Amino acid sequence: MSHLMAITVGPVQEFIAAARRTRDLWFGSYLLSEISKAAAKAVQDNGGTLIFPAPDSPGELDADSLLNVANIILTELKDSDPQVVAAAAKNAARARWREFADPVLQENKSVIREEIWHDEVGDVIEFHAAWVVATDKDKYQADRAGVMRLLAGRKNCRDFLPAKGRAGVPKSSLDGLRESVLLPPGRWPQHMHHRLRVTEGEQLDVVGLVKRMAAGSRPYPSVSRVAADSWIRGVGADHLAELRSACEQVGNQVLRPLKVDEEGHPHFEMFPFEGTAVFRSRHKELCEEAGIEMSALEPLSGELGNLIRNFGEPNPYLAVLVADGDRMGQALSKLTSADDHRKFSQSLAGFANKAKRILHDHQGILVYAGGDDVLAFTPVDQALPCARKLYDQFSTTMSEWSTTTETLLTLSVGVAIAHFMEPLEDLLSYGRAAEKHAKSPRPDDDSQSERDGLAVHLLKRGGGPISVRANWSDGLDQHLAQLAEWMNDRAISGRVAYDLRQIADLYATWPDNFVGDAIRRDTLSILKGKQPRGEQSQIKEVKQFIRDRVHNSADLRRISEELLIARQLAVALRQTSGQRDAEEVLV
Amino acid sequence: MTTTTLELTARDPVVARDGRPFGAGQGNRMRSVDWPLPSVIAGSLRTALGKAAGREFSIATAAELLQVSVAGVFPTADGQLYLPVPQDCIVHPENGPVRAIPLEIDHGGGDWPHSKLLPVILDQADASEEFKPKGAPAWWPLNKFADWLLGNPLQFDETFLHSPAKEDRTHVSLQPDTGAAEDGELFTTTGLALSHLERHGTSLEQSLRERFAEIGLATRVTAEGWCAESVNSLNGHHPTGGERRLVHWRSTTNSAMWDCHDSIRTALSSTKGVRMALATPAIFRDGWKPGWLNDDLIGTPPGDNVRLQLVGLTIQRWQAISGWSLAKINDQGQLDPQGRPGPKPIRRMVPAGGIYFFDVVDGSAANLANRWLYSVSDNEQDQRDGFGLATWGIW
Repeated sequence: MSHLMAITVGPVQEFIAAARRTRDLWFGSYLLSEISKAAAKAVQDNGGTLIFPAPDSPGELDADSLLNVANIILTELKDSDPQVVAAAAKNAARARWREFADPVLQENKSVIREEIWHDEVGDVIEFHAAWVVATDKDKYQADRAGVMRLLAGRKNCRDFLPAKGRAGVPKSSLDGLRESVLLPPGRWPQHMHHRLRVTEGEQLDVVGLVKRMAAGSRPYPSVSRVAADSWIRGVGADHLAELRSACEQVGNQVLRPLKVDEEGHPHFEMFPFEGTAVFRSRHKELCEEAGIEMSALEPLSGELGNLIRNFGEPNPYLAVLVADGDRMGQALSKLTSADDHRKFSQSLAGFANKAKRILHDHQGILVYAGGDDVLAFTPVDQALPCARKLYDQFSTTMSEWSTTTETLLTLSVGVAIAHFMEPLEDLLSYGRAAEKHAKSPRPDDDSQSERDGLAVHLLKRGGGPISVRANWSDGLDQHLAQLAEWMNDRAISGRVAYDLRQIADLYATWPDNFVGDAIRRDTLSILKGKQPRGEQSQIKEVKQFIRDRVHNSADLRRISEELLIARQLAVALRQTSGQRDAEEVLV
Repeated sequence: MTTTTLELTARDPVVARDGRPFGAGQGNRMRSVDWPLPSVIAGSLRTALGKAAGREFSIATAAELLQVSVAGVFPTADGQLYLPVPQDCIVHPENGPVRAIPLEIDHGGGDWPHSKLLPVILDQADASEEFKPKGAPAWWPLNKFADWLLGNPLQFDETFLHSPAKEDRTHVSLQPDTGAAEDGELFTTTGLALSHLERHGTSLEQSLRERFAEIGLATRVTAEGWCAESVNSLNGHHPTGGERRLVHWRSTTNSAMWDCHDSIRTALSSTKGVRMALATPAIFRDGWKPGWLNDDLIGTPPGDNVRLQLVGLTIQRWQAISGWSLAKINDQGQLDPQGRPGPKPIRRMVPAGGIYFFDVVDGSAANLANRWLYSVSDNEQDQRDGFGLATWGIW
């Protein structure tokens, strides 16, 4: 008897959401992918013909292969017993988890409470499976819908074991779901403090510790390195030479060098160190974590001081990109055969591969790309070009499917610009809020349609969030880039945004058919009053832009918000050209 | 044993932290759960009773206070008690709320934790086309909840309420001489705004008064001896939750809202299928499975005599609970003069809103109506703390 079987592997929250450092986040995604991959391989080895993921060459499901696997598996089973296959997949998932976890225990025994570790390690992996009898090939659509419905029912029964708790033990700082496995820091050998990189009072459970320590210490670029990238490019390789050698001098116990080979992040080669090296405000913390005196950083801070005198301080903002495919469920439900579904899976896998290339081309770090989901960080100046590239790539890759399933497959992208010092959890939630906005316009977003959207949110410290959203065809990314360019060339003053917002509020109660002319004149007058510099042709363009886009108070408000976001882009762009006075564009 | 109902009014946003470490040298950012846990209310009440009676908090007093049963807390509005959204409710984007029920599947299977369990899913008719479910409002008024438990049709309206808003406050320590912020002394607390809850289906154009329902908070207490006297005379402010935020506690005589509706009472007396809806998170000895079910999933809920067979359940992922004991406890978390104050052992709860479907094997379910909003947790102290308060319906 043939079956169609669906499996989900978890837990997602502990692996992906709970993170303090980018490494936790990236490794958690990687870990979940590896565990799902092991389950998929077991299914295949036990007679299953996989539909999702759909590897197209042998070895793609081997441990550590480049294939990124989402935590849901769909497979055909010709004659195998689904109970047996499910059990094998579950065991494989658990075994793979132990392959990561067990060495972490061995290598870090001196800081671990083993009895707690052993209580926790066997109760981490979650596994749910459901299957239906596959009637015949022509009934694939119905069978697939049936097995997914049944899987939902299985997941509704979230069975779990009671916890094995102990009094007197602090809980995990990342999510509070399990007890910490760490001994009190006072009892750690000296060298372990730096190895573990925990902040004061940070507690890690078995999952948190494995995410932090597994698979060697592959140093992963942190948000500070991404934020600093615009400045670094502006300074240039030549001027950075002295700073680089100062960083090497300080030693890799303090400043871990990043991997810049093909497997790592080659685009960070110009300055292959953590971003905290170039942010003076972080030096104190850097010394505390490494257990050294501030004086030990002197060669570094001296060199950095020189660079800052010439190139200004690096801007601390970065962009979080969260993207998600639109109408994917709809398209899937229209596929009529398992083979089509396989090809669909392969297209998605192809997109995920290209996404990594795109992120690296835009100086970013890809935390996760699986199926139609992308999570990444980029420098502010690269965020919008990167988002557009991802959008175009997705449309191209999936265009054949859009036609076949008669469902327009697009990518909604949320971009959140925030300070690198914000807790990672918050950066992620800003990114997700932007993505949610990209998918669904808000009441203020007049005449925009659902999905196929780009939303840009700016979360400055000491200010309310600014958000703009448009459908991709409206060219919001190009508008913002244009505004940023005008600002850089001083054709628009950076300060004008707040004045325009005031004008918009003044005119808010005027009836629409009276307001247009008056509001445009006032706007142009304000712009002129700021004594724009720049080319005559540009100033004319700006005026035309106002005439075209400002018809009422809501329009003007929207433009003031776009200007506020464009300011941030302008600062980043100035930094990339090595201009010392990047912040002056704000004046 | 005297049973009293209490009316609480939150004067400040109430801090209901999740389990993550917070405090000097531990973390400067607090995260809140969506609704205070029963133990938060129970702990606060028992402390208030002890103080009101002028007692010293010795081990003996603590033991007596732990005998006080606390049930709650639930929002009240428009004279009704509100209960948390049941998990068997799936919201179709066009058709509104539809029910998931245990269904025999003859052409499929799954790796259920027990062979006797059926999948709880939508009927084929309701699930003819795949759809993305919408969210349901978090708090349901008791009359509509009763309709749901009886299997009557239901639509959402503005009497349904959403989860409380969370309010973040950033605190700073100022140096007395310069007035500047002290380095590293910044921290953020999050509180739940429990004076008003947003109504379902309102829009930003409406006034605040229309959009938000003013709510009270209700608790039911059972006590004896000096504890019972203390409860009856309770009328004052007392810190509840973290950061010593204040809530006003007052005993009332309005206990009708805690009673089981007659329609449910009638339905239970003749039904063959019983549905158990958890109004507060439950702690079971075996994790997802109540300890009062045997290996064949047959058993009798605490305080009753009907024999039930579990056929299906729909619950969300477990939630963790620990807390901090100010009293001395041992490694197992029990009161112990040789112990120490500190973090309590972590335990796992089935979240509120979980639904368990039973077939009646033996006896009548009629008496369950008298067990309305009484605990089905396994451990007696957990019962007294208000974990696993259950409501009963049919299916």
